[in-house]
Amino acid sequence: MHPRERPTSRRQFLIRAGVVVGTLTGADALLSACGGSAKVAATTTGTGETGVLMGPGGIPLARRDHPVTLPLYSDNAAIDSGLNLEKGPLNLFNWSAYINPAVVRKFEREHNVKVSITTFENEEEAIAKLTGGNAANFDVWWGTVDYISRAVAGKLIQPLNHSYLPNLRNVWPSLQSPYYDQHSRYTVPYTVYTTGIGWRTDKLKKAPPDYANPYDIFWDAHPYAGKVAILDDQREALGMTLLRRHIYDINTENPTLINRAEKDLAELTSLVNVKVNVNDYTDIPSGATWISQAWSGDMAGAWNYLPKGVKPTVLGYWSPAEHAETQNDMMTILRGAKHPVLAHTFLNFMLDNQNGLENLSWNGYMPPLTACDPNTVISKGYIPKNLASTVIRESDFKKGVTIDALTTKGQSLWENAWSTFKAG
Amino acid sequence: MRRVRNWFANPWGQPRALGAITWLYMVWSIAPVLIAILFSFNNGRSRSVWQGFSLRWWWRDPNNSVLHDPTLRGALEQSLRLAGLDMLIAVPLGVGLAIGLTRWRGYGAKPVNYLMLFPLVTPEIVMAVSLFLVFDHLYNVPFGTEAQVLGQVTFSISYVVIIVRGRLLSVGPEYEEAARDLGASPLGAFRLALLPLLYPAVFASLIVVFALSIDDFVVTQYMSAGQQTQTVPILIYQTVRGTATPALNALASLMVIVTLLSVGLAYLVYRWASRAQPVTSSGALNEIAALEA
Amino acid sequence: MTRRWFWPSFALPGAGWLILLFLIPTYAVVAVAFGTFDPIFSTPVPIWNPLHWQFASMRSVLSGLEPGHAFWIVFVRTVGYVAISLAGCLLIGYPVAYYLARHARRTKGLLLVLLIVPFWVSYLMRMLAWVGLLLPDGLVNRTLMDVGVISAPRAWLAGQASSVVLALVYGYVPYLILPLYATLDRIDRSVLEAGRDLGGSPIRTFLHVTLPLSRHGILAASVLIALPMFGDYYTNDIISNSPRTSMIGNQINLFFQGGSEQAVGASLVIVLSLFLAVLMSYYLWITVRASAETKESLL
Repeated sequence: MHPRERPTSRRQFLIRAGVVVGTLTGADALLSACGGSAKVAATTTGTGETGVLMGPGGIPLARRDHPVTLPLYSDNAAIDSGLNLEKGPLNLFNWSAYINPAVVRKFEREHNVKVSITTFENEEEAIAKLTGGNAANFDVWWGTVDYISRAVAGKLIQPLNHSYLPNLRNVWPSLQSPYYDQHSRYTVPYTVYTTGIGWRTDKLKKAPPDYANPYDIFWDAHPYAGKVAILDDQREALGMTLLRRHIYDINTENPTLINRAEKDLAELTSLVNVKVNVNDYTDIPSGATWISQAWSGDMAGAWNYLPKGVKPTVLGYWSPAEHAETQNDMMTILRGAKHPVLAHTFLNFMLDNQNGLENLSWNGYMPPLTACDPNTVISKGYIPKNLASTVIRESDFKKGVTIDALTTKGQSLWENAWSTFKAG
Repeated sequence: MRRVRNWFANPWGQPRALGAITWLYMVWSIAPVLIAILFSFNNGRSRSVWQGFSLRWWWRDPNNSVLHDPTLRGALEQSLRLAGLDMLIAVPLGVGLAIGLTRWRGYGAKPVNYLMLFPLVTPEIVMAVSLFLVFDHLYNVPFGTEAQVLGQVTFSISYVVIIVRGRLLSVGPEYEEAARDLGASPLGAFRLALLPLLYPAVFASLIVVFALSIDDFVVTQYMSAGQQTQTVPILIYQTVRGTATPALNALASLMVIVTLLSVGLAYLVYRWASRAQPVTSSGALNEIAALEA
Repeated sequence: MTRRWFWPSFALPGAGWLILLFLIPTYAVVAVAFGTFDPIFSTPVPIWNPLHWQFASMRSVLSGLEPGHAFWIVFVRTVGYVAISLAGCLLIGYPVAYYLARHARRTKGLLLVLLIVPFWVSYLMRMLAWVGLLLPDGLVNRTLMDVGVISAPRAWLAGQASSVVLALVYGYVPYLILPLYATLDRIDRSVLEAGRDLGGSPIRTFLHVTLPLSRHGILAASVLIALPMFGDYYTNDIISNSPRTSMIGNQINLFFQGGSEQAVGASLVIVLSLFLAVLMSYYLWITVRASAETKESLL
């Protein structure tokens, strides 16, 4: 051994290991002492006028009973009217497998442009990719209600010029000026759906509608252990436990309620070995899962994935008549979009009744357009008869509860609860 | 009875028990992969129940085969694209670093040596997270192919260094000194005497980088930007529990075959190129084995 | 004097790359962990100046690490899985490496090739292979039912710790066997002969000569596979995908791919790295020592 190398004896090694462990356990005390005044960056949280929560950026959080008009900023103006179409290619930033490729190709042919789609798996991933200086790469972005006010406050999306959107008149009247974006300044609706329970009718002895409180089926599913799934989405999964307990404010920021929601979910891990994924639309048809928390569109489109010879009647879907968790996704145009006129044209294209129906036939999700009423949709075979419960009516939509935006503190509470649940 | 015991206990004979264990291990290790490859030729949609032989998942099926399904083909193309770029960038950098490190006599050598060794022992998720954060908040590099290449090169360099350095250490300085004595400049001696001796190691490191890149998952996933920049491992990870058909098996089998062929080729070239040196087959394998140590 | 800078200049591009894309990113993790976040999007804002570091995220991670809390549970479970998998790998791998190194004269070449093959098969392909076998209607269930061990198909892929450990062993054992083989191969045959000449039985020779001589190799090989195993999250996602078997890598992944609290994820990464630093430094010390010995033997 060269004299310059210092040998480490076993004793020194163990001492070194002990020091690391000691450091870690002592670090907490140390950090509390010196980091006591550590603050998270000031957020504009707290209540504004008459109990309405303020969201980030000073925009009030929208709720069904507190509609919000999103502000317009002088440095984020809409494009002028009457401009010409750009050459393309149009860049879409969408959830994976959420738009019918045939419909996209139809748009390509009609306007002689190329369309490219980049996908994301969840909203946080989308935000991360949009705020890292990448926003200029995309034109159209699919957003959800709980992130819209942030996107506006952060000047991520641009206001729409309605002169390019004549098909807006096809939208359900109640969604033409939705509560989260009055006068549709920044968004147009894409789909509406509910979150409920999907199941195999041929495998369960007792189906969800047979229960007094159908959500209880998850906690009663010991015979089906290993075949039960919930959605891999923190608001959906934790929200379901609140709805089960008849707490209809699924946007609560009450730590007690949220912690109890986490404990309820944790029970499922030990009771039925619950799976956490978003594969309900393939697992239920294939029989890998027998009961799952599901989005209505997933179940409506699930019959595409049934193996040969299995009838669509084995699929079942339920969501409550009152206080169903209803949601709608929307399309927006990003502020730095390189092809804004093309983007507006695309939005208008998707609001056309026929295109909406074609999209529905592929992904199972209902567009809130006037031509998409239950009779048309079932009689034309877009949705099998036994899954009529996946069809959303405008009246249903009005009676439901929605996942809305939270304050930063609330977001953090939900996120911590979810990570605790995921830790097992 | 005594003869059986002697046969078993002969210390210089073949230990039967150990031999049996070894062969059992080999079967256990390789059989699942062979079965997976076999199921890529399945006639039906199942990956677990044999329904007859068919080539539909490889090229016959006009929608869902590896040849025709755009998602599968896209992943294949992206994997190969990344591997090619990775090889092009990592190998020159690594060869330079290996040569510099072996010949460096100053104070900087030791820290650079440690710097080179660290990526080998860092768990991939730590490296992926650090690259993700620095691209997002400091360098403002967009995610996608460029970011994936940058990430892959970062961990590939160290492997190149190890391979080339092993060869350098066994070559020694005599050839260059002879060239210098005959009047060559330092750069000339390097180019004419040292570099040709390194070709087998450079070639081997090209193939190793290729295989590393093809099989990489964590860093590539963190640096990806949606469906277009998916590679084969990412596609496997996302679909293996849900929507996968035997086409996925076919895609994965294709990658396995390509990798094994390249490694086999590299081995043959390595042996042919170093035939002048007394390297036995087990010696070469030992060198490859020593890579991982 | 150009000669002094001649050779180091070869190393400059590579070293520069590693500094930019390995060293500085490590600092970026620290800057994010001790940073703050953007109020609108909850995206993290790194703080580069150590004087302004904020410790809120690190404190929440450390409090989650107290016994009984979420991170502690995951950590203990991860250590358990790695320890059991390591034991399994050694139990399987050592005999194979030993046989290859000390015996197997005629079949040695073939066995070495068979040993190296899994190396070049993508880890995910090998997991794919096991998923196919462990599906409810897969070969494993069907064989076990045919033989009569079980009466109904078992759900191997739904939150079973045994499946995850099995997959980890299967996945990592090749990375253990090769360095072990290399170590055992280096042991001089004459030393073993000396042991036998002095009257030891095969077992005693093994216990008192071979095993101690391969001690460093075992340790180094164990560290070599334990390090990546600690950061593994995809094995659990593919084989089990249940919170019941989640490892620390899954928690880290959750904060980056599926959450908005990247600072907490970064803090977790720092804690994990510190824990592994002890193992890492030991491995590096072994490597540097071994290469120094090799250099000396060549001079």
